[in-house]
Amino acid sequence: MKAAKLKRGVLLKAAACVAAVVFLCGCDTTFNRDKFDRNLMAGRWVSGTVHEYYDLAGTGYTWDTSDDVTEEEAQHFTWTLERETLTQIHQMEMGGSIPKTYTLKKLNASVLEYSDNYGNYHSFTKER
Amino acid sequence: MKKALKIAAIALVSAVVIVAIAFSVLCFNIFSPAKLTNAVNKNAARFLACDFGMERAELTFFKTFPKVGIDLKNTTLKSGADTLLHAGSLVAAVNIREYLRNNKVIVNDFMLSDGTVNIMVDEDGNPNYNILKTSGDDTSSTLIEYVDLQSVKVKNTDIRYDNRKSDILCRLQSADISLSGSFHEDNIAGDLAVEASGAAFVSGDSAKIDFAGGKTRLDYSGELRNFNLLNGKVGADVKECFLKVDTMVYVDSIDLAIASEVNADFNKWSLRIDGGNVRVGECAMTVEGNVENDGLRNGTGIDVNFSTEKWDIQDVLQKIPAALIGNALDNISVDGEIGLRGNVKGLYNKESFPDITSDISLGGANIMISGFPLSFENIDALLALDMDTDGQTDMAVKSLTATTKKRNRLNMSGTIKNLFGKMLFDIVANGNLHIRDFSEFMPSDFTKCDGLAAIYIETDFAYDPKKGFSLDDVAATADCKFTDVNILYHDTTSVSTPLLTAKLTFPTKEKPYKIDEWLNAKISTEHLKVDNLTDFSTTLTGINLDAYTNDLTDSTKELKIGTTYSLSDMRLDMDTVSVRLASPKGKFVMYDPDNLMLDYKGETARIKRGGKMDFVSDALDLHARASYKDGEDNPLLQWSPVMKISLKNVDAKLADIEHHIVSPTFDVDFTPEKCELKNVNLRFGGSDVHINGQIKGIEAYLKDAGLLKGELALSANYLNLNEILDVIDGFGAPDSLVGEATEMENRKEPAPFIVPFGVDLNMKTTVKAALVEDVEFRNIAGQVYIKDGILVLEEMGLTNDAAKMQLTAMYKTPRLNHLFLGFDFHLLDIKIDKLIEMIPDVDTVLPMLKSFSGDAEFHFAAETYLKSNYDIKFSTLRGAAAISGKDLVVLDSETYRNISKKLLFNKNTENRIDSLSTEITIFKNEVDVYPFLVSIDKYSAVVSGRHNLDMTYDYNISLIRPVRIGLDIIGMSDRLKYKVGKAKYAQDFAPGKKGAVESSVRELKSMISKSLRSNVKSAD
Repeated sequence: MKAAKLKRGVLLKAAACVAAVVFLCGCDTTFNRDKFDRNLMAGRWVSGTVHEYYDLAGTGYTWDTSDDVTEEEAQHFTWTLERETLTQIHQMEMGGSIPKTYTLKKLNASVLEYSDNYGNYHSFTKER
Repeated sequence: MKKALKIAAIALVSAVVIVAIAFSVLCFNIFSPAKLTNAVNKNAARFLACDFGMERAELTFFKTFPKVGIDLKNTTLKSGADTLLHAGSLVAAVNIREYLRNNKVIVNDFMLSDGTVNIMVDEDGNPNYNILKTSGDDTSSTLIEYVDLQSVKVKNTDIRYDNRKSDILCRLQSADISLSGSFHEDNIAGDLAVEASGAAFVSGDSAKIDFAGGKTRLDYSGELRNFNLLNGKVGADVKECFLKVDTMVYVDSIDLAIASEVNADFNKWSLRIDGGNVRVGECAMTVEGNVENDGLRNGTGIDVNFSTEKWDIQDVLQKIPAALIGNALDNISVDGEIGLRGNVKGLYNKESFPDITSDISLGGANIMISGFPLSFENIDALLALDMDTDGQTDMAVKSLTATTKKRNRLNMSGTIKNLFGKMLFDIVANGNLHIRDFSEFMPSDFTKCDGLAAIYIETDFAYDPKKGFSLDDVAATADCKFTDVNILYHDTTSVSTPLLTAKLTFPTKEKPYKIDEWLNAKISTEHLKVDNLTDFSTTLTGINLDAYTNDLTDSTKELKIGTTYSLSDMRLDMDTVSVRLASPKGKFVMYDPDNLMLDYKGETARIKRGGKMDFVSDALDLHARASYKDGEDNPLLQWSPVMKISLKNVDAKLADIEHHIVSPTFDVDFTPEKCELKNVNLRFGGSDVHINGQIKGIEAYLKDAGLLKGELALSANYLNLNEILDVIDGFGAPDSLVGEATEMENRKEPAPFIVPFGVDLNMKTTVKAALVEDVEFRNIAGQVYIKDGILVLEEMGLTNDAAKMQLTAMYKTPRLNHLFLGFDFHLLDIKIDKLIEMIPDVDTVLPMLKSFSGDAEFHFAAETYLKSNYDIKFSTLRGAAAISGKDLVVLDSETYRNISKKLLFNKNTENRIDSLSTEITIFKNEVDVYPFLVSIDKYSAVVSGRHNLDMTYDYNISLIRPVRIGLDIIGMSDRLKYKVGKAKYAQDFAPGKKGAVESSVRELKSMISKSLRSNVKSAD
């Protein structure tokens, strides 16, 4: 019985430890919401023929030169970055919005990488 | 015998001579000069009342043989201080028998030689020749008894007659006068012959007349009674005559010959001429009539008839006093023959000249007027001249025929007033003319004029020789008939007609157009052809014009034209363009070259442009005004036309358009500001359209200063949009786009439809049925906008067998390889299978849809840029769709069977879905299907996933009831792999569930759904 109590105590301590870990992890989420520096998003990024431009006001545009589209003809979107979740809401010219959600994998001064839930991986480098 | 006769003759002559000598000796002894001189002086004093002087008197026998004469040497008679007579020799033959028997001295013959005679009448009318003493003094009757003149001769004597009362002076120089006859009392009967080396007549009574002649011969046979009344035959021949009246010389160095019976009364200073023949130079005429002094009017009254032979006109003109002609003939050259028959009547004095009326016959005359382009030849005329030198000289043209330029025959009659001043013509003329010969009257632009003209003219005009000929002064009505006319204008444009009639009137009194009408031309022809060597050819038939122009002669004024017109037919061919107009008629006015008005009403009108256009209208009505503005390049801006156009039953075929454009009615009012489509019906292919409304801003559009704006209402029973879009493709597009399109066509690539640029059209549309691609829609109503390269269909409601629909769409063409297409399409009460049939692309976006059957509601918004070949630029593709349905049936398919098998569905599962509601986004080539719940029989599953437009799938079906199990479906559509795993969603998946992930999804779905449904119009 004592062993059982001891075993239960161990389990409770373990549970408490797990809870603590979980809590701490939660505290980390709370106090380090910006896993990536959104300021690094600003600027022109390129991946092959696909270009994306972000500004810190939360707007941007994208164009693909392989389709004979110029920067002046680019299509606009708004974007948000919540932790590693990058949401692009693409604006239709006739009205309407198309949301796209990605998970940011890497962001620094020269590299932007994100993927979607279907395993599509996008890697951009910063245009000078 | 002969000898005896000769001896006898000699003896007889010798005897006579001896007797004569003996008689002479006797006379000389009896009538010695001294005795005779004494006797003559005594008798002279007895009979004469004037001074008489004589050197001596002597008998003469030889000078007066066989009579005895008295020869008075150096005799002088003086009347007062003036010498009446002086004679070197004055011989009087005495009837010796009367002297011997009755002691009477009767003078039979009288001869005066080497003398002078001065006969004078003083200012009071007292003559100096009344030198015989009156009866109280030993009367003159006594003298008369002693004078019985049978012969008077004057030799080498100057004779002067000076009547100062009448202011007449006559002189004969070195005159030889022979007068034979009888002298009884104051009567003289006999013959008179006068020859003088010179003669003069000066009269200053009424008008200063100065006549002089050279060698002069006068014959007279008749009597002179009372030294006053002359009756006889007179002949005169005066060489080198000179006649001056006042300061005007009428005759100079012309020979004059006269023969006539005359009756003269010297007291009255009257003269009667009968059977007179006068020859002035080579010109002869007969004369008869009276000339007499008109003391009451202080002149000479003349009433003389004359007629001439045929005179040479130039001779006559040379003889006509310059005072009469003035400078009338300065610019006229004339020759030919002229004959006169007329009368000179009236008073002649300083103030007046008698009227001359005359019939003038011209034969073979030729006239050329300087400055007038034509000369006239072979003139035969009968004219009546009324020459009033105090007023004006008029001429009546009784008949005149003439030829000009050898082959043009003219006939004329009428009057010419003021012949020697500014002539006024009132003429009726007709002629057959060759137009070429009158080319001088044509503007110089007409380089060739051929044809014949039969012309009848009634004209009044003035011709001032000082100023020349001017149409300004002409009034005329002309009936003209032109045949075989061929006129070349500027060497490039020819006008020809076989027959044309014209009636010209100018100046006209009618003013129908208020354009200062001057000329009226009524023109008719059955056939007129106008050809330009390089540009056009026109054929007109059945022409009738009633045209007016302003004064064509005034080069300072712009041309104005007003005309009514009617034609049977008009054909114009210009380059590849041909125009045919049937029965056009109406009115045309050119107020000036910059302001035009046209009324047109016609039957069939056809315009063809090579194989590119064929336009036919059964009727065309047009009322148009246009004003020209400088500084504009576009003809529409240059002329600013204001038009009302009405067409009936138009059928137009354009090469680039497959179908005819048919318009039963086409009524349009056009101004540079707006074009009002009042009643326009169009049939094009299968389309049947009625349009009305206004198009504005045309002028600004043409100046590139604004858009062409239109507010139109379009209603149609049927509209084939495929055909119509082909027609308006590229209208007004920028050159860059057109160039690109042309290049594509050159590469045999189909160019895309280019939305018209520069226009802002708003068209309220009501269409019963329309065909788009292969889909037919009905009951279409909505707005269509075309705005500067953008085509918008706004909230267009439509129906078909599959659904009720609302479509908002936009298509624009910023550049040829970057076309924008966006649409917002709502389909209500649609049958899913029909939806896929109607829009096959739905299967691409939502491939699982083909697994369902039933009614649904579908909202689909998408936009993308397209390549010039309409290929989608997937990188630009954005879209969202929402579909909801109830009571759907899941179709039995291989995919469904696989899913059923993997998810362990009961074989007896009923394949019906109570409801379905899902949202889909399209981004580039990714189609994301947001999780939605599907309930089939006792099974509930959440379906979500993605497929790419390359038809690779990554879907998950999470069965959440009755058991939780997941099924991933991945791979290509034809090689799908099914992998069983855990369910992704909780058993209680529901719209109200607010898990973190679900909440985010719902938020996104809501965004999509709201944006999709916001544009759906309410049912009303």
